[in-house]
Amino acid sequence: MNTVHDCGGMDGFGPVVPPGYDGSEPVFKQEWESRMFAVFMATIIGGLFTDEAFRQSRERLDPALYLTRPYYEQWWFAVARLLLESGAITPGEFAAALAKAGEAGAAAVAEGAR
Amino acid sequence: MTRTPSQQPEPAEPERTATPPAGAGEAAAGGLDWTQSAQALASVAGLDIAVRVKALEELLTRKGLVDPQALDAVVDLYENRIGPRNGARVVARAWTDPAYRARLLADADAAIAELGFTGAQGENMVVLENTAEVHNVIVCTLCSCYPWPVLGLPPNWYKSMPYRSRIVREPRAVLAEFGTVLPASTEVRVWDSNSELRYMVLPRRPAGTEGLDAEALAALVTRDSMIGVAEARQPERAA
Repeated sequence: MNTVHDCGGMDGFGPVVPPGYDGSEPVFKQEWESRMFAVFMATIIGGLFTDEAFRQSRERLDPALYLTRPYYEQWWFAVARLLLESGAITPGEFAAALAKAGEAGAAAVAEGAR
Repeated sequence: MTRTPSQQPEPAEPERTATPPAGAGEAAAGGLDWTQSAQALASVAGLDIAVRVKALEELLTRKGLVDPQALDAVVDLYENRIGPRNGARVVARAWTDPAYRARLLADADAAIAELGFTGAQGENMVVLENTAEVHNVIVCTLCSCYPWPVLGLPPNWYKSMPYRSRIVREPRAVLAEFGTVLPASTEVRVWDSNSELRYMVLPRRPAGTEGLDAEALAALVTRDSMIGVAEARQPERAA
């Protein structure tokens, strides 16, 4: 893929070292990050997609989302997309699951999957 | 980015038995096409990510595709058991055992496995030795390839666009941000990792550590020194 992930040598991304950095940081800053990591591990080991497909799915992410969303959120998009494309989960199931997250989400998913 | 884990850590093993749904692994077998899936993602991108992760986990659990207890085990493994202390043991051994150091530089996979460190994202390792003449630093410009069995999961900055974009363009400036200022005479080599090849830096042994044993030496080996953005700690600063 030829998109924003291929950023080596690009200018303009600013400083690297976080303010107050002391050489350490928690493995996962928030619980959802650890759950997303584990969901990824379980689904790839379960054979639901390959590492190559996962990498490509990350790279296919809308560049605006890629540049603005946290790392493990990018994993959520990549995994969910592969599961929808393989048929492992159906658009209806996906919409229903996200309906728990809010009525707006359910309506939007149904619209997007139509 | 990642490889299919070929030597998976034990706690995740039960997931291998998960039954793939009909059509899994086949191209677009009844699933959405690329345009439809992009629309589906866009339609939920505004929802809180913590809620979306929970929804996905619960859906996959209901369908029998993941086991929540196995997920707990994976989290425990990577939060508590796989991390840079593993790599520090490799480095300390190399500092104290010339024959091991030679094996490590010649065949990193085998030498690292001697200490019991194997598993996903550690296949085809190459260890890069820092010297007075050459300083090595690693990156994955395309994403986040990193040697999990010896260093654990990468820190946020390693996966960030600033690091990935700049370390290959102006490595000395980035190293200086980390407080690492090298003599102009030291050559800086930047190694771009990929899914088939993973690097780890063997930092220089600090001066004045001749009397220390491997355990005390390991305490001087930081994660950042094995990425190459820092040097090993001086002994007086050791915990």
